[in-house]
Amino acid sequence: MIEKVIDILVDYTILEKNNITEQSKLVIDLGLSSLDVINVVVAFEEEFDIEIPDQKIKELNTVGDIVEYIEQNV
Amino acid sequence: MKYKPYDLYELPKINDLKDMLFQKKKMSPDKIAFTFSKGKNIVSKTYTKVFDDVNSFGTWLYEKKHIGKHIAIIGENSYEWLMTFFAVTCGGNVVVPIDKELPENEIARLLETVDVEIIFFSKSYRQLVTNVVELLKKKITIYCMADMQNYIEIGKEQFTSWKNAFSNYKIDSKQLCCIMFTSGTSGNSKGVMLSHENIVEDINNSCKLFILEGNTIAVLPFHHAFGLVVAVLMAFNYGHTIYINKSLKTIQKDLQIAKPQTMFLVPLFVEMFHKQIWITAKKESKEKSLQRMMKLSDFLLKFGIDVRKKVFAHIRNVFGGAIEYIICGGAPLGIQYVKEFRSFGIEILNGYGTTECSPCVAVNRNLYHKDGTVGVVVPGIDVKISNSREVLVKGSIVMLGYYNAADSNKEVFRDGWYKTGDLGYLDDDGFLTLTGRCKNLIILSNGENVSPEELEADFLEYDEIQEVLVYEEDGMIIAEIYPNEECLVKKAELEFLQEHFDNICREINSKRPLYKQVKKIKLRNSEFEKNTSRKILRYKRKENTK
Repeated sequence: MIEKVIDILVDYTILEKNNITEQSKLVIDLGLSSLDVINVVVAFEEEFDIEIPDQKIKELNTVGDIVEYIEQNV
Repeated sequence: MKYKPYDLYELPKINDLKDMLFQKKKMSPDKIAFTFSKGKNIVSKTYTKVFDDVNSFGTWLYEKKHIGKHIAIIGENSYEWLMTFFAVTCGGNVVVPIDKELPENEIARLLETVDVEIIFFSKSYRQLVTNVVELLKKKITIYCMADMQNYIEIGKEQFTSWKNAFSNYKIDSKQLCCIMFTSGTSGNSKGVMLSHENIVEDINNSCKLFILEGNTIAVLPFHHAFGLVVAVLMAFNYGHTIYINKSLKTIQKDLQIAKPQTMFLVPLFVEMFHKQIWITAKKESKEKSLQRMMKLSDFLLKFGIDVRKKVFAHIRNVFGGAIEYIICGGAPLGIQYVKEFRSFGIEILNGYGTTECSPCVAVNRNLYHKDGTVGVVVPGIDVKISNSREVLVKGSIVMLGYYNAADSNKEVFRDGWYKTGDLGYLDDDGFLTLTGRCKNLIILSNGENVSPEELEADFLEYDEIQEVLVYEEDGMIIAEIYPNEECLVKKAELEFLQEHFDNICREINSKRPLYKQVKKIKLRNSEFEKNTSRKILRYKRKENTK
C-alpha cells in the first residue's frame, strides 16, 4: 500500500522516492501546498476508488495518515 | 509594457446590488447566470431565475421578521450561498461571510465580535455550526441552506401585493452591507465594515478597467472579498455565465464543463497549474520539447506571428480550452509565471486590493499591462504614496471602518486616507508597483529604508533558489537562502554552494544602490517555517537558522 501511495506522491514533490517515509509530513517535509494536497487526494480517490470527504482532508498530515485512511476505507 | 492607454470600458452603472439583479434580468432574461453540478447533473439558473429566487427568499426572510440583523453564512461555495448573500443584503440585513476552515472557537469568537444573530450553513457544516452555537452565550437562530428550495417556495407563495416589503425595500447606499474578516493570523482578524456604496462602486469602477468577454468559474472561497466581489459580483455585472466550483477536488472536471475565458485566482492556484503542466510534461517525457516550443513561439511572437493557440492547445485544454485571461490578486505572484503563461497564450493580469477597499484598488488592463506591476488605479478613487512610501487610498471604495475597533480605526485612517500598510510607487504611466509591507521594512542605522520583499523578488528570479528571506542583522542586510533540492545535490560541497550564491548576490547587488545591497549570504538546509497559507514566518527565522 505505502509503495502505491509514495508512487503518487512523488509526482508532486521535489523529493526522491526513497526519501519519502510513512512519517513524512505532507506540507513540511514534502513541500506540498494546500492545493497540491487536494490534487493528491483526487489521485488517491481515483487509484483506490474511495471518497475522501473535504473535511477529512485537513486531518491527513503525514504519509502514514493517508495509508491508514485508505486501508480503513478501501 | 504592451500597447497604449485606451478608453475605459463602459458598462451600465448600477446603483446597488438589487439594481444589478434587476438590470441583468432586464437585459438578458434568459441568459444563464450560474451553472453548477448537483449529483451527476448540471444545473443552470438564468438571470430571471436568480432575480425571482432572491425575491422569494428575501420575502421569506421578511416574513420570519429577520430584518436589520447580522446574518452569517458558513459553507462551501454554492448557489444557495449566493442566494443567501443577495437576499440578506438586498433586504437591509448585514451579511457576515465566515471562513468555514477556521476552528470552532475562532468562528464563535468572530460571530460574537460582530453581533451575529442568525446563521445560514451548508449541510456539511451542520456539526460544526451546532458546536459553535453551543460555545456562544446568546441565542442564535440557525438555518440549513440545503432547505433553500423550501424557503424559496414558501416565499414565492407569501409574495402578494400586500406582502412585498422585501421587493419594495430601498437600499440606502451608505448603510452597512457586509462585514468581512481580514485574513490575519488567528486571534487578530478584524471585521471590515463595507457599505453598499463601497461594494457597488468597486464593481462599477473596476469593470471600467477590465472587460470579461466569456464565461468564468468561481473557485476562490466566497468569504473572501476577492472571491465574492470580484470573481462573482463583478463577473455577474458583465452578464456572462459563472460556473460555481463547490470543491477544489472537482476543479479539473469543472473546468472542462465551465470552459472559462477568464479565471480569477490567487497565486497559489497559478503555481499549482504551473506544477501540473510540468508534471504532465515530465511524465510524457516532453519537458524539453515544451521548453523548445516556448522559446520558438516567443521568438515568432516578436515578429507578430502568434502560433500559441495552436501549439499550446493541450495546455489551454487543462483550463477547458477557452482560457484567455487570469486575473491574479491576493498575494504577489512571481513574474516568471506571468511570462510562462504568456508563452502559452494565457495573459495573467495582476491586480491589487485589500478587503478594506472592497477590495479592488488597481488592476492591469486587458490591452494595457506592465509586468511586475499590479496595474493602473481603479478610476474614481485617489491613490497616493506617502513620504514613507506607503500606499494610501481615498474614495467611495474605502470601508466604513473596523467593527467595534476604535483603536484600529485610528491607526489606519489619516486625514481621510486609508493606510494600506503596503509599500509601493506609482510610475509615470500610472502603474502601481508594490515593494513590500510596512511592518517588514528594514530601517538601517543610516536612516535608509529597505523593503526585504523587493530584494527577495530579485533572488527568486534564480531557479536554484527555493526560498529566501532578507533581514537585517548587526546593521547588515542578510539574505538567507534555502537552495532547491537539485542545486543541493549538484553542488553538494558547501563551499561551492556558498561561492555560487555569493556570485548570484554580486550580480543582484550590481543593479542596486549601495544601501540596498545584500552584504552577506547565509545558506540553510531546511525550509523556512511557514504558516497555513505557506507564507514564511519572518519572526521565526532566527530560531531555525543553522
